[in-house]
Amino acid sequence: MSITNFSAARRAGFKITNRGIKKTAVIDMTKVATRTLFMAFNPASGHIAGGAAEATDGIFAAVTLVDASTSNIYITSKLPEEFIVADVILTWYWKSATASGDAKFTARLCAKADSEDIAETDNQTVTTTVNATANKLNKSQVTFDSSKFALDDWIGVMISRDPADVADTLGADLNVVGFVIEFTGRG
Amino acid sequence: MPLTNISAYRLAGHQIEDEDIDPDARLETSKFATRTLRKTIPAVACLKAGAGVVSVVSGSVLAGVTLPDANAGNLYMSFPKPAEYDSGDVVLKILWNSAATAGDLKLTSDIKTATTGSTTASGATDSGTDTADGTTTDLSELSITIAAADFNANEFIGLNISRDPTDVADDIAADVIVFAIAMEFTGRG
Repeated sequence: MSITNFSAARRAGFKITNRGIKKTAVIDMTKVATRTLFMAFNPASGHIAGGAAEATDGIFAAVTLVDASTSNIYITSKLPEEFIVADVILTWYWKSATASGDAKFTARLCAKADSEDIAETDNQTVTTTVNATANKLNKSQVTFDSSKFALDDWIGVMISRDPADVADTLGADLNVVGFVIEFTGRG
Repeated sequence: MPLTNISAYRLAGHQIEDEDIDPDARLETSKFATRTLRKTIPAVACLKAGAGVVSVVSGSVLAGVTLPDANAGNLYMSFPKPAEYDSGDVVLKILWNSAATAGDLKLTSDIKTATTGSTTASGATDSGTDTADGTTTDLSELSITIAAADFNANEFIGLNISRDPTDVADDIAADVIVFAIAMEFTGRG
Protein backbone atom coordinates (compact mmCIF):
# COMPACT_ATOMS: atom_id res chain seq x y z
CA MET A 1 0.00 0.00 0.00
CA SER A 2 1.33 3.41 -0.77
CA ILE A 3 0.49 6.13 1.72
CA THR A 4 -0.59 9.23 -0.13
CA ASN A 5 -2.61 10.87 2.66
CA PHE A 6 -1.48 10.30 6.25
CA SER A 7 -4.66 11.64 7.82
CA ALA A 8 -6.84 9.38 5.72
CA ALA A 9 -4.58 6.40 6.50
CA ARG A 10 -4.89 7.03 10.24
CA ARG A 11 -8.66 7.41 10.08
CA ALA A 12 -8.81 4.13 8.19
CA GLY A 13 -7.19 2.44 11.20
CA PHE A 14 -3.65 2.01 9.88
CA LYS A 15 -0.79 2.36 12.33
CA ILE A 16 2.38 3.59 10.70
CA THR A 17 5.52 2.02 12.17
CA ASN A 18 9.18 1.86 11.27
CA ARG A 19 8.60 -1.69 10.09
CA GLY A 20 6.40 -0.26 7.39
CA ILE A 21 9.32 1.61 5.93
CA LYS A 22 11.77 -0.44 3.87
CA LYS A 23 15.15 1.09 4.59
CA THR A 24 16.67 -0.06 1.34
CA ALA A 25 13.78 1.13 -0.78
CA VAL A 26 14.75 3.21 -3.77
CA ILE A 27 12.63 5.32 -6.02
CA ASP A 28 11.73 3.79 -9.34
CA MET A 29 12.69 6.45 -11.87
CA THR A 30 9.47 5.84 -13.79
CA LYS A 31 7.74 7.41 -10.77
CA VAL A 32 9.67 10.65 -11.16
CA ALA A 33 7.72 13.33 -12.97
CA THR A 34 8.92 14.27 -16.42
CA ARG A 35 10.37 17.67 -17.14
CA THR A 36 12.03 19.56 -19.95
CA LEU A 37 15.70 18.66 -20.38
CA PHE A 38 18.34 19.97 -22.74
CA MET A 39 21.25 18.82 -24.85
CA ALA A 40 23.42 21.73 -25.94
CA PHE A 41 26.02 21.82 -28.69
CA ASN A 42 28.63 24.29 -29.70
CA PRO A 43 28.08 24.71 -33.46
CA ALA A 44 31.83 24.77 -33.99
CA SER A 45 32.00 21.21 -32.61
CA GLY A 46 29.91 19.97 -35.53
CA HIS A 47 30.75 19.27 -39.15
CA ILE A 48 30.41 22.32 -41.37
CA ALA A 49 30.00 22.38 -45.13
CA GLY A 50 29.29 24.70 -48.04
CA GLY A 51 30.18 28.28 -47.27
CA ALA A 52 30.05 27.74 -43.50
CA ALA A 53 33.14 28.73 -41.53
CA GLU A 54 34.18 28.72 -37.89
CA ALA A 55 34.31 32.14 -36.25
CA THR A 56 34.27 33.88 -32.92
CA ASP A 57 31.53 36.33 -32.04
CA GLY A 58 32.21 38.28 -28.88
CA ILE A 59 32.97 35.53 -26.40
CA PHE A 60 30.89 32.98 -28.32
CA ALA A 61 32.21 30.23 -30.56
CA ALA A 62 30.26 30.50 -33.79
CA VAL A 63 29.77 29.17 -37.28
CA THR A 64 29.12 31.71 -40.00
CA LEU A 65 26.36 30.88 -42.47
CA VAL A 66 27.27 33.15 -45.35
CA ASP A 67 25.05 35.17 -47.64
CA ALA A 68 27.04 34.15 -50.71
CA SER A 69 26.20 30.44 -50.84
CA THR A 70 24.43 27.59 -49.09
CA SER A 71 25.92 26.69 -45.69
CA ASN A 72 25.33 23.66 -43.47
CA ILE A 73 26.06 22.63 -39.87
CA TYR A 74 25.76 18.97 -38.78
CA ILE A 75 25.62 17.47 -35.27
CA THR A 76 25.37 13.73 -34.50
CA SER A 77 24.61 12.30 -31.07
CA LYS A 78 22.37 9.80 -29.30
CA LEU A 79 19.16 10.45 -27.42
CA PRO A 80 19.81 10.48 -23.68
CA GLU A 81 18.50 7.67 -21.50
CA GLU A 82 16.34 10.31 -19.79
CA PHE A 83 14.38 10.85 -23.03
CA ILE A 84 10.76 9.79 -23.22
CA VAL A 85 8.99 9.79 -26.54
CA ALA A 86 7.52 13.25 -27.08
CA ASP A 87 8.03 16.17 -29.44
CA VAL A 88 11.59 17.46 -29.67
CA ILE A 89 12.38 21.16 -30.12
CA LEU A 90 15.54 22.25 -31.89
CA THR A 91 16.58 25.82 -31.14
CA TRP A 92 19.53 27.76 -32.42
CA TYR A 93 20.75 31.24 -31.54
CA TRP A 94 22.28 33.55 -34.11
CA LYS A 95 23.16 37.15 -34.82
CA SER A 96 23.85 39.33 -37.82
CA ALA A 97 25.26 42.76 -38.54
CA THR A 98 22.10 43.70 -40.37
CA ALA A 99 18.96 45.10 -38.77
CA SER A 100 16.31 44.10 -41.28
CA GLY A 101 15.29 41.12 -43.36
CA ASP A 102 14.47 37.47 -42.78
CA ALA A 103 16.69 34.44 -42.49
CA LYS A 104 15.24 31.16 -43.69
CA PHE A 105 16.62 27.91 -42.33
CA THR A 106 15.98 24.25 -43.07
CA ALA A 107 16.46 21.75 -40.24
CA ARG A 108 16.86 18.10 -41.21
CA LEU A 109 16.60 15.18 -38.81
CA CYS A 110 17.83 11.60 -38.95
CA ALA A 111 16.65 9.59 -35.92
CA LYS A 112 17.56 5.94 -36.36
CA ALA A 113 18.66 2.78 -34.57
CA ASP A 114 21.20 0.08 -35.37
CA SER A 115 20.51 -1.59 -38.75
CA GLU A 116 18.17 1.17 -39.90
CA ASP A 117 18.62 3.22 -43.04
CA ILE A 118 20.69 6.39 -42.92
CA ALA A 119 18.09 8.46 -44.78
CA GLU A 120 16.53 11.65 -43.46
CA THR A 121 13.61 11.18 -41.07
CA ASP A 122 12.03 14.62 -41.30
CA ASN A 123 12.70 18.22 -42.23
CA GLN A 124 11.25 21.50 -41.12
CA THR A 125 11.76 25.08 -42.27
CA VAL A 126 11.55 28.30 -40.29
CA THR A 127 11.84 31.94 -41.30
CA THR A 128 12.89 34.42 -38.63
CA THR A 129 12.97 38.20 -38.85
CA VAL A 130 16.24 39.61 -37.57
CA ASN A 131 16.26 41.84 -34.50
CA ALA A 132 15.69 45.50 -35.42
CA THR A 133 18.98 46.37 -33.73
CA ALA A 134 22.07 45.04 -35.47
CA ASN A 135 24.22 42.47 -33.68
CA LYS A 136 21.57 41.37 -31.19
CA LEU A 137 20.86 37.70 -30.63
CA ASN A 138 18.02 36.04 -32.50
CA LYS A 139 16.38 32.69 -31.91
CA SER A 140 15.01 30.25 -34.46
CA GLN A 141 13.19 27.07 -33.58
CA VAL A 142 11.54 24.04 -35.15
CA THR A 143 9.64 21.14 -33.61
CA PHE A 144 10.08 17.53 -34.68
CA ASP A 145 7.01 15.42 -34.03
CA SER A 146 7.25 12.62 -31.45
CA SER A 147 6.40 10.06 -34.13
CA LYS A 148 9.87 10.59 -35.62
CA PHE A 149 11.65 9.23 -32.52
CA ALA A 150 12.07 5.96 -30.67
CA LEU A 151 13.85 5.34 -27.37
CA ASP A 152 17.61 4.93 -27.76
CA ASP A 153 17.69 6.39 -31.27
CA TRP A 154 20.86 7.90 -32.60
CA ILE A 155 20.13 11.37 -33.95
CA GLY A 156 21.68 13.64 -36.52
CA VAL A 157 20.54 17.19 -37.15
CA MET A 158 21.56 19.47 -39.97
CA ILE A 159 20.85 23.19 -40.14
CA SER A 160 21.20 24.83 -43.50
CA ARG A 161 20.70 28.27 -44.93
CA ASP A 162 20.16 28.89 -48.63
CA PRO A 163 20.45 32.64 -49.18
CA ALA A 164 19.14 32.21 -52.73
CA ASP A 165 15.76 31.18 -51.32
CA VAL A 166 13.31 34.04 -51.96
CA ALA A 167 12.19 33.87 -48.33
CA ASP A 168 15.74 34.62 -47.15
CA THR A 169 15.96 38.40 -47.44
CA LEU A 170 18.65 39.04 -44.85
CA GLY A 171 21.27 40.09 -47.37
CA ALA A 172 24.10 39.47 -44.91
CA ASP A 173 26.11 36.74 -43.21
CA LEU A 174 24.88 35.42 -39.88
CA ASN A 175 26.69 33.71 -37.01
CA VAL A 176 25.12 30.69 -35.31
CA VAL A 177 26.40 30.65 -31.72
CA GLY A 178 24.59 27.71 -30.15
CA PHE A 179 22.28 24.73 -30.58
CA VAL A 180 19.88 23.36 -28.01
CA ILE A 181 17.87 20.15 -28.33
CA GLU A 182 14.96 20.36 -25.92
CA PHE A 183 13.20 17.15 -24.98
CA THR A 184 10.89 15.70 -22.37
CA GLY A 185 12.70 13.44 -19.95
CA ARG A 186 12.94 11.98 -16.50
CA GLY A 187 15.75 12.58 -14.05
CA MET B 1 9.73 18.39 12.92
CA PRO B 2 11.29 15.74 10.72
CA LEU B 3 9.81 12.29 11.20
CA THR B 4 12.94 10.23 11.70
CA ASN B 5 11.40 7.59 13.98
CA ILE B 6 7.77 7.00 13.22
CA SER B 7 7.19 4.38 15.94
CA ALA B 8 8.56 6.65 18.67
CA TYR B 9 6.49 9.48 17.34
CA ARG B 10 3.30 7.40 17.54
CA LEU B 11 4.12 5.95 20.99
CA ALA B 12 4.52 9.48 22.29
CA GLY B 13 0.89 9.98 21.46
CA HIS B 14 1.32 12.03 18.36
CA GLN B 15 -0.90 11.51 15.41
CA ILE B 16 0.74 11.86 12.08
CA GLU B 17 -1.07 14.40 9.97
CA ASP B 18 -0.45 15.85 6.55
CA GLU B 19 0.87 18.94 8.30
CA ASP B 20 3.73 16.91 9.77
CA ILE B 21 5.23 16.52 6.34
CA ASP B 22 7.87 19.15 5.67
CA PRO B 23 6.80 20.90 2.48
CA ASP B 24 10.43 21.78 1.83
CA ALA B 25 11.65 18.19 2.08
CA ARG B 26 13.76 17.01 -0.86
CA LEU B 27 14.56 13.59 -2.19
CA GLU B 28 18.19 12.61 -1.94
CA THR B 29 19.60 11.40 -5.24
CA SER B 30 21.03 8.41 -3.36
CA LYS B 31 17.44 7.20 -2.92
CA PHE B 32 16.89 6.97 -6.66
CA ALA B 33 17.15 3.54 -8.24
CA THR B 34 20.12 3.09 -10.52
CA ARG B 35 19.56 2.89 -14.25
CA THR B 36 21.51 2.94 -17.46
CA LEU B 37 22.63 6.45 -18.33
CA ARG B 38 24.76 7.64 -21.20
CA LYS B 39 27.13 10.33 -22.27
CA THR B 40 27.48 10.76 -26.03
CA ILE B 41 30.41 12.31 -27.84
CA PRO B 42 30.03 13.24 -31.51
CA ALA B 43 32.98 11.85 -33.46
CA VAL B 44 33.38 15.18 -35.24
CA ALA B 45 34.05 16.84 -31.87
CA CYS B 46 36.98 14.49 -31.13
CA LEU B 47 40.60 15.24 -31.85
CA LYS B 48 41.37 13.37 -35.08
CA ALA B 49 44.72 11.80 -35.92
CA GLY B 50 45.93 9.80 -38.91
CA ALA B 51 45.98 10.34 -42.67
CA GLY B 52 42.48 10.61 -44.07
CA VAL B 53 40.86 10.87 -40.64
CA VAL B 54 38.52 13.71 -41.54
CA SER B 55 34.94 14.72 -40.87
CA VAL B 56 32.40 13.85 -43.56
CA VAL B 57 28.66 13.56 -44.10
CA SER B 58 27.02 10.23 -44.91
CA GLY B 59 23.51 10.26 -46.31
CA SER B 60 22.07 13.75 -46.08
CA VAL B 61 22.12 14.42 -42.34
CA LEU B 62 24.58 12.33 -40.33
CA ALA B 63 28.08 13.71 -39.85
CA GLY B 64 30.97 11.54 -38.76
CA VAL B 65 34.67 10.89 -39.14
CA THR B 66 36.32 8.60 -41.67
CA LEU B 67 38.63 5.92 -40.29
CA PRO B 68 40.43 4.79 -43.45
CA ASP B 69 41.36 1.32 -44.59
CA ALA B 70 44.77 2.52 -45.75
CA ASN B 71 46.25 3.39 -42.38
CA ALA B 72 45.52 3.61 -38.67
CA GLY B 73 43.08 6.25 -37.49
CA ASN B 74 42.42 7.66 -34.03
CA LEU B 75 39.75 9.66 -32.23
CA TYR B 76 40.74 11.21 -28.91
CA MET B 77 38.48 12.70 -26.24
CA SER B 78 38.76 13.69 -22.58
CA PHE B 79 36.06 14.40 -20.02
CA PRO B 80 35.30 14.06 -16.30
CA LYS B 81 33.88 10.83 -14.96
CA PRO B 82 30.10 11.45 -14.96
CA ALA B 83 28.85 12.48 -11.51
CA GLU B 84 25.89 10.14 -12.05
CA TYR B 85 28.16 7.07 -12.39
CA ASP B 86 27.42 4.53 -9.67
CA SER B 87 29.17 1.24 -10.39
CA GLY B 88 29.78 -1.46 -12.91
CA ASP B 89 31.25 -1.93 -16.34
CA VAL B 90 30.93 0.75 -18.97
CA VAL B 91 29.84 -0.07 -22.51
CA LEU B 92 30.94 2.07 -25.42
CA LYS B 93 28.42 1.94 -28.25
CA ILE B 94 29.80 3.28 -31.49
CA LEU B 95 27.59 4.12 -34.48
CA TRP B 96 29.27 3.51 -37.81
CA ASN B 97 28.66 2.89 -41.50
CA SER B 98 30.62 1.76 -44.54
CA ALA B 99 30.25 1.30 -48.27
CA ALA B 100 31.25 -2.34 -47.71
CA THR B 101 28.55 -4.94 -47.26
CA ALA B 102 30.75 -7.68 -45.82
CA GLY B 103 33.65 -8.03 -43.43
CA ASP B 104 34.32 -7.08 -39.84
CA LEU B 105 35.36 -3.77 -38.34
CA LYS B 106 37.56 -3.91 -35.24
CA LEU B 107 37.84 -0.85 -33.01
CA THR B 108 40.09 -0.55 -29.97
CA SER B 109 39.58 1.68 -26.94
CA ASP B 110 42.41 2.88 -24.74
CA ILE B 111 41.22 4.47 -21.53
CA LYS B 112 42.93 6.20 -18.64
CA THR B 113 41.19 7.46 -15.53
CA ALA B 114 43.52 10.06 -14.14
CA THR B 115 43.96 12.35 -11.18
CA THR B 116 46.70 14.56 -9.78
CA GLY B 117 49.98 12.69 -10.11
CA SER B 118 48.74 10.33 -12.80
CA THR B 119 50.39 9.82 -16.13
CA THR B 120 48.42 10.11 -19.34
CA ALA B 121 49.45 6.68 -20.62
CA SER B 122 46.76 4.17 -21.49
CA GLY B 123 45.44 2.38 -18.43
CA ALA B 124 43.45 -0.33 -20.16
CA THR B 125 42.92 -1.58 -23.70
CA ASP B 126 39.71 -3.20 -24.89
CA SER B 127 38.26 -3.91 -28.30
CA GLY B 128 35.14 -4.91 -30.14
CA THR B 129 34.26 -6.16 -33.60
CA ASP B 130 31.12 -5.77 -35.65
CA THR B 131 30.13 -7.18 -39.02
CA ALA B 132 29.18 -4.74 -41.76
CA ASP B 133 25.51 -4.46 -42.47
CA GLY B 134 24.50 -6.10 -45.74
CA THR B 135 23.09 -2.81 -47.03
CA THR B 136 25.46 0.08 -47.62
CA THR B 137 22.98 2.69 -46.42
CA ASP B 138 22.22 0.96 -43.13
CA LEU B 139 23.77 1.90 -39.81
CA SER B 140 25.79 -0.44 -37.60
CA GLU B 141 26.58 -0.37 -33.89
CA LEU B 142 29.78 -1.75 -32.39
CA SER B 143 30.17 -2.34 -28.65
CA ILE B 144 33.27 -2.32 -26.45
CA THR B 145 33.07 -3.17 -22.75
CA ILE B 146 35.37 -1.43 -20.29
CA ALA B 147 35.73 -3.10 -16.89
CA ALA B 148 34.51 -1.10 -13.90
CA ALA B 149 37.97 -1.10 -12.34
CA ASP B 150 39.41 0.54 -15.43
CA PHE B 151 36.78 3.28 -15.45
CA ASN B 152 36.18 4.09 -11.81
CA ALA B 153 39.71 4.53 -10.51
CA ASN B 154 39.94 8.30 -10.75
CA GLU B 155 37.96 11.30 -11.81
CA PHE B 156 39.26 12.51 -15.17
CA ILE B 157 39.17 10.34 -18.26
CA GLY B 158 41.12 10.19 -21.48
CA LEU B 159 39.77 7.93 -24.21
CA ASN B 160 41.19 6.97 -27.59
CA ILE B 161 39.15 5.02 -30.13
CA SER B 162 41.32 3.63 -32.88
CA ARG B 163 41.19 1.42 -35.96
CA ASP B 164 44.15 -0.56 -37.22
CA PRO B 165 43.15 -1.96 -40.63
CA THR B 166 46.17 -4.31 -40.57
CA ASP B 167 44.72 -6.16 -37.57
CA VAL B 168 43.69 -9.63 -38.74
CA ALA B 169 40.32 -9.18 -37.05
CA ASP B 170 39.63 -6.11 -39.20
CA ASP B 171 38.79 -7.54 -42.62
CA ILE B 172 36.21 -5.08 -43.86
CA ALA B 173 38.66 -3.76 -46.50
CA ALA B 174 36.99 -0.37 -46.80
CA ASP B 175 36.91 3.01 -45.14
CA VAL B 176 34.39 3.34 -42.34
CA ILE B 177 32.63 6.37 -40.90
CA VAL B 178 32.25 6.65 -37.13
CA PHE B 179 29.39 9.01 -36.22
CA ALA B 180 29.32 9.10 -32.43
CA ILE B 181 30.46 7.30 -29.31
CA ALA B 182 27.87 6.69 -26.58
CA MET B 183 29.27 5.71 -23.19
CA GLU B 184 26.63 3.75 -21.27
CA PHE B 185 26.99 3.21 -17.53
CA THR B 186 24.98 2.37 -14.45
CA GLY B 187 24.15 5.61 -12.71
CA ARG B 188 21.78 7.43 -10.45
CA GLY B 189 19.84 10.57 -11.25
